[in-house]
Amino acid sequence: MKSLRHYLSVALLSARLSVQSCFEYPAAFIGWLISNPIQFLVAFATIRFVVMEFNDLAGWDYKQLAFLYGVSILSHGLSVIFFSKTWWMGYQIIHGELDRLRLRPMNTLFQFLLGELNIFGITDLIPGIILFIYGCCAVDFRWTLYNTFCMICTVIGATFLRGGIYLILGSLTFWSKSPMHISGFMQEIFNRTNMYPLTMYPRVVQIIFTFVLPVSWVCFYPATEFLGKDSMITLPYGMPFITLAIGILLFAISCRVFRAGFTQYESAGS
Amino acid sequence: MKTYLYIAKLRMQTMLAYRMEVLTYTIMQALIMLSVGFFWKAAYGGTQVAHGVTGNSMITYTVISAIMGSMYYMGVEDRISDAVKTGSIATDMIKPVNLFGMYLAEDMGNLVICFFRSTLPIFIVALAIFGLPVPASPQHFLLFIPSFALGYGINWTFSALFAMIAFTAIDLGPAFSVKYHFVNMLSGAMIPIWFFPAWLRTAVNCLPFVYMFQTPLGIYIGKYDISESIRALGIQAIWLAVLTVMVIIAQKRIEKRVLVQGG
Amino acid sequence: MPVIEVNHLVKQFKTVKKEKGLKGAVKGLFKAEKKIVTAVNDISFSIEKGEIVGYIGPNGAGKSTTVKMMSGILSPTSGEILINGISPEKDRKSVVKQLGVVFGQRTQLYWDLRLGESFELLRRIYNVDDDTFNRNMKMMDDILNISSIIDTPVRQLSLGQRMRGDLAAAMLHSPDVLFLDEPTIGLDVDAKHAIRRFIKEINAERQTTVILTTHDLGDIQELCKRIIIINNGVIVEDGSLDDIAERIAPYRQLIVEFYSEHEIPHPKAEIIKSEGAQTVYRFRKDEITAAELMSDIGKQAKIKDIRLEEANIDDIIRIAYNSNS
Repeated sequence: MKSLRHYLSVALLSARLSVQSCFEYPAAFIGWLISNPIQFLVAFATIRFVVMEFNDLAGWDYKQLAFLYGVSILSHGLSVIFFSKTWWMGYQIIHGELDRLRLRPMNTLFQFLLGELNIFGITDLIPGIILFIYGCCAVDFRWTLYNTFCMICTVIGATFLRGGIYLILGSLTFWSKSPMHISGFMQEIFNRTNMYPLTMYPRVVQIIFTFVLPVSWVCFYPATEFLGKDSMITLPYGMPFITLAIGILLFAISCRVFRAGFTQYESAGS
Repeated sequence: MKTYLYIAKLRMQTMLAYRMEVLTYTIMQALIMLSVGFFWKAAYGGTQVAHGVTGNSMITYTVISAIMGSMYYMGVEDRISDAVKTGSIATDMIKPVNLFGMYLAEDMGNLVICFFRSTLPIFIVALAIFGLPVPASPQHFLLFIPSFALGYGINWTFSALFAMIAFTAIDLGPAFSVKYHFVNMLSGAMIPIWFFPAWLRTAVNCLPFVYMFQTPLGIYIGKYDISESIRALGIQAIWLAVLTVMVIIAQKRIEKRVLVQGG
Repeated sequence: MPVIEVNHLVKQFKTVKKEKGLKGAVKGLFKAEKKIVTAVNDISFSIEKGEIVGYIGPNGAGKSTTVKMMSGILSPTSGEILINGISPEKDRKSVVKQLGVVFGQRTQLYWDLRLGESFELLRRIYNVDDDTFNRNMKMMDDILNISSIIDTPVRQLSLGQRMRGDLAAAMLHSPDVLFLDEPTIGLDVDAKHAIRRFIKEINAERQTTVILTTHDLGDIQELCKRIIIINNGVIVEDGSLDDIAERIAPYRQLIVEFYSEHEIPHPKAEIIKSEGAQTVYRFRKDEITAAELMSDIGKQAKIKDIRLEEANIDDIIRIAYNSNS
């Protein structure tokens, strides 16, 4: 209990300091605040123009696709704030910049993830929230107690699912000893499997992204339940809980991988 | 000329050094292409023809767009922004080679490497999944080649110009990101402009972006007939000339600035 | 009980061999050769409370690697480290609570924030109570004049100021042991002086055990009663500077100035330089005393002036470095 309070107080202060250091670079912040929404707008416009031409995409109309994309981008924004440091941790591992984590008497992963939040991620989160609200309104999402609970499970699960995979990929550098820039690659996969209905892909692709690399659980499967759409898997209810379970499981695995990786850490560079 | 050949070779050497990156980048490009291809398959569904283009033509469009994208590696952008950030632009300018000649030679080196490490694998993947991306006719293919070269030139000069203008901005990261997404959307690399609403289409046609991707692609799939294609080539040439002049002007202005401020 | 005990410590790294040229780059694309490098090769020592130990060696000798293992950053390949009886590998958190660590080349402070904010965060991280925190801050202020820089963002501090900040940050939780990795690197004379004074004072007032690696022999002469010299991952010397000098360079130099040019040999001394009226003799203390040598020479020619020099610390260190390479 005492240790929980200790960790909480450090996390809160770290969060405050992260906000402060972010405001040391106002120009960059404003730059990203302009640039990131454009990225989503472009992706979104693509869907809109094409679906307006053909009426639907694999049986999903424009409003349903907006909802799908909104949920996806919301969890993307959250994962950027909490997990984006894993995108360049390869560089930090190679250049020995993780020393500080080992020198403090606290959990290493806690310090790594919550010690310095990426407040710039707000520039992803804001368009995420807007798109999310827009999508929910478009499909007239019913905010019943149960639905709200399911939505929270989905978003939290999706954030951990993204973060867990990012952390595992980032930790691979501990062994490979050369930075692997696969985060952009991974983001693309998350996007491509959750921006369009998964059912438009060949069956083998659907199987891979459902069972092998379970990225479609980020929001495609929960969305099929919310909207009553067909997919490869038919469950009467419970998709959001599976998303949450997969998210937590992947995050737990990533913690192990990170810890195991640190025994290989070389702290080179000085 | 020998100097520039050597620069191109050096560039190829450094590009090869990024082992893992090379591989993942190529896989990513291929995956995006597949994703967009399936997107068109699903979108067309039962529809035969939209805007005079069949679903199969759209898949060819997507494959060729990915192939062109894999060869459009604009190293000049990074080189200029690095040179400005580290201040080496001042020393680069007094080197006895033309700065932009050097960058272009480097990008020619990049092009060769990209062809082998990205273009070929992407082509093979496309061949396996979607079959051979056949051009509308041999004449269209012959017109596609110069159009592609002009598209490369427009993209290159635009990238150089953008990097030179952007370096006056404080943070380059967001600036390049904005540019990337705009080009992606407005060049027709992802979806052809003919799907856009009319007002947007008119605006986009006045910008150079469509001439980077959509013009060569439209020629390849036969969206334009021969005479339309030749006219499009002419417009491309005009854009390339305009952008080249602008690059030269921008370079002169930077040179003056560097001389005055000492870098 | 010693504060630090190191037994048969070994650390090996795997490195990827890169080949030159376009051909090498193509080859590297498919297969990368791995090579094992032994940075620290079976070293053992123990350090008592209150010692100031200079841990020195040429570049790449394994100094930083040892310090990083002792402070829990790196895991040893084999061997054992005990800090106050606890192994940093097994119970890192308990060990690091007792440690202060400063790397001269890399700050542990938060780059974009005021120095004071880094202190505030560290105080929460280490759970330092108000009394201890204020007492420590006051002491750091007295020695390092921290209050003059506490409101400046770390990235705007000069190297010397930043080092002062790093030292203060390392002392906030009153550690028993302080590891300093090249704390004076790149600093000017004033800043070096401040840092040496700091080390002496905390050692005197708090009995803090200090291990410092350095290339600045002034640090060693001024601070260290004991030095450990490491080379190629192996300890080559361990003892006081005087003892080491006695063992590996037991020479002194007698510089004699005559009234005119002479070259007078002596069986127990070697002439290493003779220039004009001045001759430099080198001799071993245990073979002949300076007085005997002087009187022997004085019998053959009239001496105008003499000067006696101990072996130079530079020479001692250089000899030690070269003894195992």
